[in-house]
Amino acid sequence: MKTFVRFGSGNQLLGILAGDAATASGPILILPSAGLQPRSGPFRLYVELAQQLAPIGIRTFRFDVPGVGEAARLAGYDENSATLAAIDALQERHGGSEFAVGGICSAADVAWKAAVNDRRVKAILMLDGVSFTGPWYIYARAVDRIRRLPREWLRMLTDAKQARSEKGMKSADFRDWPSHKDARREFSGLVARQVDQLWIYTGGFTDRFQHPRQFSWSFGESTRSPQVTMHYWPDCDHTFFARAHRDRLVSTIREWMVEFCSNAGKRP
Amino acid sequence: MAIAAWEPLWLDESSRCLYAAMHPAAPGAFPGSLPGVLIVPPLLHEQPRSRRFVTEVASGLGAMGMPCLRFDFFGTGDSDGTGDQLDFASMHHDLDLAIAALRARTGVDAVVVLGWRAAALPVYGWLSARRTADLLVLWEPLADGELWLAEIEREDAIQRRQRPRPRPGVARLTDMDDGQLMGFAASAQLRRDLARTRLVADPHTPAVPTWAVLQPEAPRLSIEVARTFLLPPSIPTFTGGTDMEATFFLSPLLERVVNDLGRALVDELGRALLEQEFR
Repeated sequence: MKTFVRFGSGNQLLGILAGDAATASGPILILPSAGLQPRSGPFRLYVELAQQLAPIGIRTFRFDVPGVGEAARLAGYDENSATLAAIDALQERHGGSEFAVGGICSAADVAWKAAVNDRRVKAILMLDGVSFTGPWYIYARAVDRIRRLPREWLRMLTDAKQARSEKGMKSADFRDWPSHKDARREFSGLVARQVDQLWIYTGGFTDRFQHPRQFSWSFGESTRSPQVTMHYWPDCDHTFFARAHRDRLVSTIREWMVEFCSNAGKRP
Repeated sequence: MAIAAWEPLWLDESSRCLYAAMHPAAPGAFPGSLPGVLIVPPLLHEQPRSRRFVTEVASGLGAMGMPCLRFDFFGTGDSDGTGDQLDFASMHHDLDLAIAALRARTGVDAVVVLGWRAAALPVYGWLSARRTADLLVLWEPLADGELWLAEIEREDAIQRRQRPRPRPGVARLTDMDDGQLMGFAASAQLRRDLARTRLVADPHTPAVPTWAVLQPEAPRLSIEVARTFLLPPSIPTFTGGTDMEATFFLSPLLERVVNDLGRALVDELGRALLEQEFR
């Protein structure tokens, strides 16, 4: 069963709530559109997630953020305010009380902000989410370069020079991230609130993440909490182009959501 | 451009549950006096890439008084089903549903089918056989399904090698038999349908009057095209890949083409309908 939900400024935004409220009264997974991709998700990932989760009683809600896909641009209304408005609408009209928010890339940034600002968000799905380079990143990058054939070194040098001369934009330039200090503080706060977290970093994010130990370096001791799961999948690309990669991702999220939903109503 | 208000709906909700969106005619337009437009999206990776653009075109034509219905084929976009359930037969079934919904919801007398890119391949034969619309407009149509299939199979192989960029020590997964094409399921039947379809006139079946919106350097179509609209050079194209930011919008240059097309539709079908009413 799928339901259209109007929400946001003047009810001008639209999302699709998948799953039956009669049989699924637990948490709802909210999936804001990612980047400039429409709400069906890269390679229809969010639709596949909805199709996998609905039969086991887990509802999903996917929507286009303002200015993306079918959604009009709304003055003074961005993806963060839209997500909070979606939570309001789902709580008021569709019986949602606990929410997981997340997705790929910019959708992960939205999830982070939503969780930090709204206690109704009890879980975040962070696919290539916020990350900070540091010693482990530098180490992994150096090892990667050494392992390449000498003929590739010249190309890497040329690429690096060109990037410097063009002042080329990196992935982080398109992202909405807190400072490292704020991110650590906010991460600890989420763990203290027992917010479940699934983090997956891919091989399509190599300008920001190249080594699994970067995660604890970025966010500190709190990463060891049982509430936090992190996977590093260097064989996958940023948008999970390959069928097998999407299957692995959907299966991992499904297991995580089942676990999260089994504790519904028990969190502070 | 701003997107005017529109209504989402499900077509055949109990069975296929196709996602559709109705862009109403702007207030003030005389109901039934102008044609309704059925908008048929491009296929595979070109569909999400052009989602915003197609929505903006529908909104623009709605503002000119022509109600538009957009929809996603079964197994694509926000519709039910999985990608491997998509083939020409399923598309024909969905087109029947969509055109019936457009007529039922708007009461229009005349219908224009506006199809993008590879949608031309299933649409042309379907419309020639059914004759359920008054005019077909093909936007950058792909005239040779086999050629397009070969092109995207080549591009798919490149994408598989580059996603993610190869790194020493990281295993690569390149299962070319996973039934995917440009990241989307493409069944053997869909590939067969594409491979055997060309835009050619059938000497035994008179075609529905057809207009085309073409790139200036596009090869001549082998079907009869009554009117052609040329796209400005250097506009974004549908072949821009599958990256996260691979999308395009209705730029002012493209908006001019849409306005020209809209005015021509009003002149052609609006006048004919008016004359019919007076008779």
